[in-house]
Amino acid sequence: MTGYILRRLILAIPVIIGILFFTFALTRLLPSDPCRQQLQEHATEAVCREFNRRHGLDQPIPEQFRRYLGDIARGDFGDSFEYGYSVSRLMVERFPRTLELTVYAMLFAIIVGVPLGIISAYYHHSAIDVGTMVGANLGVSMPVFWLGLMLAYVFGVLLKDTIFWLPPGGSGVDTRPFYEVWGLSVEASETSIWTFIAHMDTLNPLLGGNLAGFWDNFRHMILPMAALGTIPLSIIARMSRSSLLEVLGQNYVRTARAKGVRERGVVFKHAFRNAMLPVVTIIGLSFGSLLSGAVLTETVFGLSGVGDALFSAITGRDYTVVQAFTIVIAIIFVFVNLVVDILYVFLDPRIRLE
Amino acid sequence: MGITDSAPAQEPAPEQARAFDIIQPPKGPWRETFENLLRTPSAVVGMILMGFLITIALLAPLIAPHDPFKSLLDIPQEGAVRRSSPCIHLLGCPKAGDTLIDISGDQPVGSVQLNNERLLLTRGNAVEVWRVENEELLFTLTHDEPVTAASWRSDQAILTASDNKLFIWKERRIIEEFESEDNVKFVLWSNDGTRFISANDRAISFWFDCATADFAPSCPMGTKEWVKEGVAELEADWTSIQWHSDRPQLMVASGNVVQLWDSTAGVVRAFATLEHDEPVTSALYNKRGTRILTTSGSTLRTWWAASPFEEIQAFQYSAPLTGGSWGEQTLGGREDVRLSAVSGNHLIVWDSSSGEQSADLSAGDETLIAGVVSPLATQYAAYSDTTLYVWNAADGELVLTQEAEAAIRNVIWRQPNGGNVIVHRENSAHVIKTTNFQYILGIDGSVRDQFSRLLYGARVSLSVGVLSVSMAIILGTVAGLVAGYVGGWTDNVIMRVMDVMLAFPSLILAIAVVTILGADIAEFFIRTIPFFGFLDPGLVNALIAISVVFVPAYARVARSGVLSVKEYDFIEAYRALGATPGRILFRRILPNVLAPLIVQATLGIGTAILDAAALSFLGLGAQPPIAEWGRMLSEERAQFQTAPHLVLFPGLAIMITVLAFNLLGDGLRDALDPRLNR
Repeated sequence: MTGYILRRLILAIPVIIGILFFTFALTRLLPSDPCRQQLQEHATEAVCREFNRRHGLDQPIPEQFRRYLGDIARGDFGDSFEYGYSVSRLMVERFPRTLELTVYAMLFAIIVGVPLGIISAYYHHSAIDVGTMVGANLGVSMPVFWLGLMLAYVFGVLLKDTIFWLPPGGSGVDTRPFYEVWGLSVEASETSIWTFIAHMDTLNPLLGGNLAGFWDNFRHMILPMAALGTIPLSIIARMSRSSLLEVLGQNYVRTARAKGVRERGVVFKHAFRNAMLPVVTIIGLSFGSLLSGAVLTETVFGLSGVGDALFSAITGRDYTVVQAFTIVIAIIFVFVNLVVDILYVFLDPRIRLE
Repeated sequence: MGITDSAPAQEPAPEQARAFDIIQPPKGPWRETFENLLRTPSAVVGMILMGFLITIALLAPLIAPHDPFKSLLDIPQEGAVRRSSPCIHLLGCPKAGDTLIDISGDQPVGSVQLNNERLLLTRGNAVEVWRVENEELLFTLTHDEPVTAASWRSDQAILTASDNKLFIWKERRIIEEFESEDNVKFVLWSNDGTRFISANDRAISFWFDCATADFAPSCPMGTKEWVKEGVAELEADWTSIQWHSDRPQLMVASGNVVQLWDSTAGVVRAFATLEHDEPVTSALYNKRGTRILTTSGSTLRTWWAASPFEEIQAFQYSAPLTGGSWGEQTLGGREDVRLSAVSGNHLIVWDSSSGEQSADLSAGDETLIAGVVSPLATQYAAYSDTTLYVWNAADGELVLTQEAEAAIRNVIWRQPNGGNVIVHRENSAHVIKTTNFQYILGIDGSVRDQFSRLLYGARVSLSVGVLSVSMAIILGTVAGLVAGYVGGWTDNVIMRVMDVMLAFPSLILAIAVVTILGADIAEFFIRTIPFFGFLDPGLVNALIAISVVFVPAYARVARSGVLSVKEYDFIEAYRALGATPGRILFRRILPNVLAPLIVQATLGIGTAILDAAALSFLGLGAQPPIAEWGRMLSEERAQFQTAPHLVLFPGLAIMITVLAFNLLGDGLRDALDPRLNR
């Protein structure tokens, strides 16, 4: 099994190199001149020569790629044009919020989606089943940003002055970094892991024991979470239903029924675990749509996360940020898929035997 | 069942086929697939939706009631209210005469003013401010004594007069308070808000803001307050007072004269007098403040509002005239100036450019008090003591007669687009619709008909979806076929590139591609491919980006199809017959991998439409004024709290379209999947 995991890890390396090369090629090999792109009317010949020298753009392409790989290996993504500080610092500021948002959305999708799928498979052809599947079909067809705006309207505007009101945008209060609450004297530089955790909107107040702060920040996260989680929820519900239905038609299930196991036992003991295998795959695959959706959700709800930063970097033509964030998101995506594959080994003994 | 006849499993021996014929006539594979589709309810729903969408897209110019790209204000037609609410015909749309908003109470309403969709009214001891759009009382300013006058500055500061005192309110608090002369019955801010007047019957006081640099010389040293600097004494009671739209000049009509008062630098002086033979019954500046209209006796006159202050035109009528009004429509290159006045039960309208009387409209037996021409000069409103009348300008048709017991005090057109009047009656203020024009799904922020835009959006979305997926299929299939057929080193390179592309979340990759595609590439596509002509460069970029993102999916499907077919004997046979690899690939192998490609493509169109909408939503795709659903949504998204219908409908349209493709794609998969074909 270790061999299998190792093999999967090694297979991921060319893909990551490909990602790096791809993003490099996108920005370097195209006819547009980066100096003119960034400096606009200030780009005189002398200025551009100096600009190219400073950014190593006068070097041959292979040499440029080597330097670029070296920079990234050191975690140096360059400086943001718009923010005026390093992209790494921007990432440490923005990633925690997106991470929390995607994790919450995923949990929401799994916690609601899997039971829905099971119930509709259990009560096959019933009203619940039909309703769930109609809902799931609508769910995958909805634009995330539209769903977000509609949720914000219903919960933020229509239900104003009721207990169901939820903030339609923005993030909650700023809370003190948890390490200060704990009285730790850590050296929290702008890109350290401590700062990263302290930037988490809900984990930080929780670690710092500030329950009111946690609740306020969590409330701001509920609508974005629901909006972002709906597509994976629909996919998961559909997948777990069809997969469970398929498993319920297998011979060993018939055998279990024949020997007198109760229906509930058949579903949960015999069928459920096998039915969940494709669901795990689909959860991993949904992660990509979650990261895409995060860009839209954060824009709609005004959450300053990665998606929001990426969006303003695009509109502000801040190529260093676009490039760096694209790489990081793609690499995270590759690793999530890797983790899913490895998880598969634990879930499916047949793969272990290969 | 596959959909082609070349796969070996589907090629029965001739004798068998003939024997089979007798029992059941052979069906074409396409027809069989179609019949399978008809057996799946969701696929049928998908096909119906799709047919509906295609019909809409094709017939959009015939169905759309308005031009989707043009502001309705460019077309002289009233009733287009910015971000107006939708009107679903089945639920009954408001018609001329319907009360849209009703603000009534026990106490008499003193005065009603409209400013930027907010209605200010004085009632008893209070000044109330309502939001017209949704009939919401925003706030109330309460005084100790009855409010006798109020005026409203463009920055929302409110000036009120009550019990010989003047108050300036800002953000619901009193920020200034002054002693005034007795019986103030009228107050008015100048248009720039640096001064105001307070008037009783015979005297008008000018007040100046010493914080404004202009007046510093005439203000007492060091004061930063308001000072009362000059008083205009009148010989007779005034009949109308109006500030000039951008000069610090006040027009006052009283007795037989109209006087113009200047208040530059805090010095108040009368600088021009327009003499009449008989008492002036009304006087009004035009919109730009270049002319003045007066009625006096049975003559309506226009005057130059600047030097030489002379009469321009005079229009005679057979009876005394009152209640003069300007009607100016200068939009869309039209210069249409109408002048109106009432006399007895008649409303008389003159055309200023031709100098002719253009209408003489009678309203029953009642004596009219005043008439008002609508902002776009397409309707005239007039009122008698208890009845409101509205006519269409074009044909003089009386559209509306509304009678109530309470006396009408004033009628104001709802600015800037007309279509509604605000009727101030004794105890109430109503907004009454005056046209029968209806906008099914409301009007967007740029005063365009949303319904028409939605219809045209179907064209954009469907073509973007189909075009981007077609491009992706062509590229992906060729790559996949070559990779699968040639194998070895070529296969490895192609598929590793595809793996890398699949490693990016789709929207992120699309965003990255769009950012690096310049306008040049889009221009190239628009110039070379005729079908792209009607799309704008932004949309073409989005389209290319989406197709790039989709290439790997088709490459994989095509490759796996080739791998499963290429080892069959019939391919080997063709090769032995000397067919070229290209011929084998495209004539023999491609038809066998079509089925999964079609399924993937149908599902892909839905995703492509979603992604295109998302890119447009982020401002990377379609550029205005193109009617693209995602773009429409993002343009109105800041207003979703007050105008949710402008966000709801484009989103629903996207959802229905994507749903149609998803349902059809799922249905096709089931219909083409041999495993389910038992």
